[in-house]
Amino acid sequence: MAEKASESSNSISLNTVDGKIFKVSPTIANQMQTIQSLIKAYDSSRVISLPHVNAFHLSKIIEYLEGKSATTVSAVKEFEAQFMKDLSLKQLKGLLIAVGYLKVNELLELMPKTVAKLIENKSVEFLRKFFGIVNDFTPSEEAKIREEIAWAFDGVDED
Amino acid sequence: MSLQEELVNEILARLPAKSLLRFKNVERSWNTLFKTKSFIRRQKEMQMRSASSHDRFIMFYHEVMTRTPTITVLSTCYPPKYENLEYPLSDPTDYLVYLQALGHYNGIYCLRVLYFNGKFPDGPYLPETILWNPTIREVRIIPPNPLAPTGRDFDSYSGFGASDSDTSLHFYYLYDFNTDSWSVIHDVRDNSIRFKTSFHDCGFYSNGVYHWLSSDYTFILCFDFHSNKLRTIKTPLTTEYCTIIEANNCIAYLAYDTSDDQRIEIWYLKQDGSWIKQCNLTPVVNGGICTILKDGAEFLGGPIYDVMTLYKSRPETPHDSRAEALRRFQVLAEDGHFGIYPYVETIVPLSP
Repeated sequence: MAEKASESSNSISLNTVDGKIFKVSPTIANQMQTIQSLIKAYDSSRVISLPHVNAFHLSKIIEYLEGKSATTVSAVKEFEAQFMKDLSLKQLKGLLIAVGYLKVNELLELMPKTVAKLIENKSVEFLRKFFGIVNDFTPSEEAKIREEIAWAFDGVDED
Repeated sequence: MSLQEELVNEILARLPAKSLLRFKNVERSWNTLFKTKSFIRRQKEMQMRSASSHDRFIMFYHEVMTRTPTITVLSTCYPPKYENLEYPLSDPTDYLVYLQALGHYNGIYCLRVLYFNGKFPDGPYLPETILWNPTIREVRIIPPNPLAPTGRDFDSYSGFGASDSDTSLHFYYLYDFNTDSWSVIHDVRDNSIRFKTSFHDCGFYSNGVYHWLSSDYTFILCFDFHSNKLRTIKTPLTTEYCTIIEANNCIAYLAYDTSDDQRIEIWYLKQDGSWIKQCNLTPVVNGGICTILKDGAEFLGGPIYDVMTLYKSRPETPHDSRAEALRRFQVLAEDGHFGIYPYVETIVPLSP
């Protein structure tokens, strides 16, 4: 914190997989654990390459970390709700992968909660597609489980 | 690139029980994951974090000689919500003589029921102890205890609770949930654990210990599910106008003052077995108190005819509080057995 005055000269350059360079302040970079360990490995003048993160996801993460600095609890809540509302389920999935890779702890609580809320009424087939899972049950096994807990299949959203 | 396994697990742990039941059909490894203790525990923790998970209660009510009890989940939020649950074991020829909840642990409710079978008017009455997880709609019937002595001079008390595994207790005898069998804890003939008094039938489980209040109101008998040992704790006062209830994961002792100032003394039982006085509450609420909420800031008054009231406790001095009515709830409680317990949703399976 004492180095705040010289923050701009200390900014860290991040290169996304699609070739876009982002300059971020150490305060922001410090909230991404993976980058912290990469800074130690790199010479400070060099650009850090992020092979698993694209520009859209990195810009969203930076937007979140910068916007979250609101003063009141209710303002943060409102900001978080709006931030999540603007993202589609597909975008959330991509962003969560980036968040997991960069280890942005601030988002590792909020994002799984948001995704869970959006998928809780979805069908089994929707979930397989969303998580890229291949069904390994036999048709008769699947039918048996469905029959046992038929009530849990009521009120499912259309895919 | 797909989501890392830990992230998928983080999402799944935040899903409600009904979704998880459906999603065990997604793939085999999910079905296995949802049965692991660590996942079940984490999912419960996540559900308990939401504010609404602490203001729900399950109420059991039955009228003598009806076929099924009425079971309702009450949300004491504003406006209140009522959801009726279906009794898990209904046989059209049976009539219910009584239903008593022995306790609950981790979303599982232990019920003792007595049936009268209409096909055999001369009896016998059929007693049954069942474990029920209403969230996932699973039931397990506890086999009769083959070790229990029969005869008139044998009083049987039951309790239900758990250590790390889920176990159910019949006084002196322990039914082990994992092995589906009964074993002897204390032999009834052992004089050292005979008491000169009997106990109130319905006790409470809290923090690994089941508690029964003695019929002479002088002590509480405790069964510790970790050590499988019985011990006794003296009540803080000697009045006969007292009850024990559950409060914030501990046991509260309530002493009703019958003189003009109409107050209730509330004591909490600490982990070490000693008592700490919480407050005096005035005026005494008709019907008494059946649950203490939010660390004593609110409490639910016992049913008077068919109305229950949520009260706010307004402190006036460090030791005295006034009860102010917040909301009222319509419940079925008149002329019959009634029981109310916190409602907790878990995916703890009961089938082997």
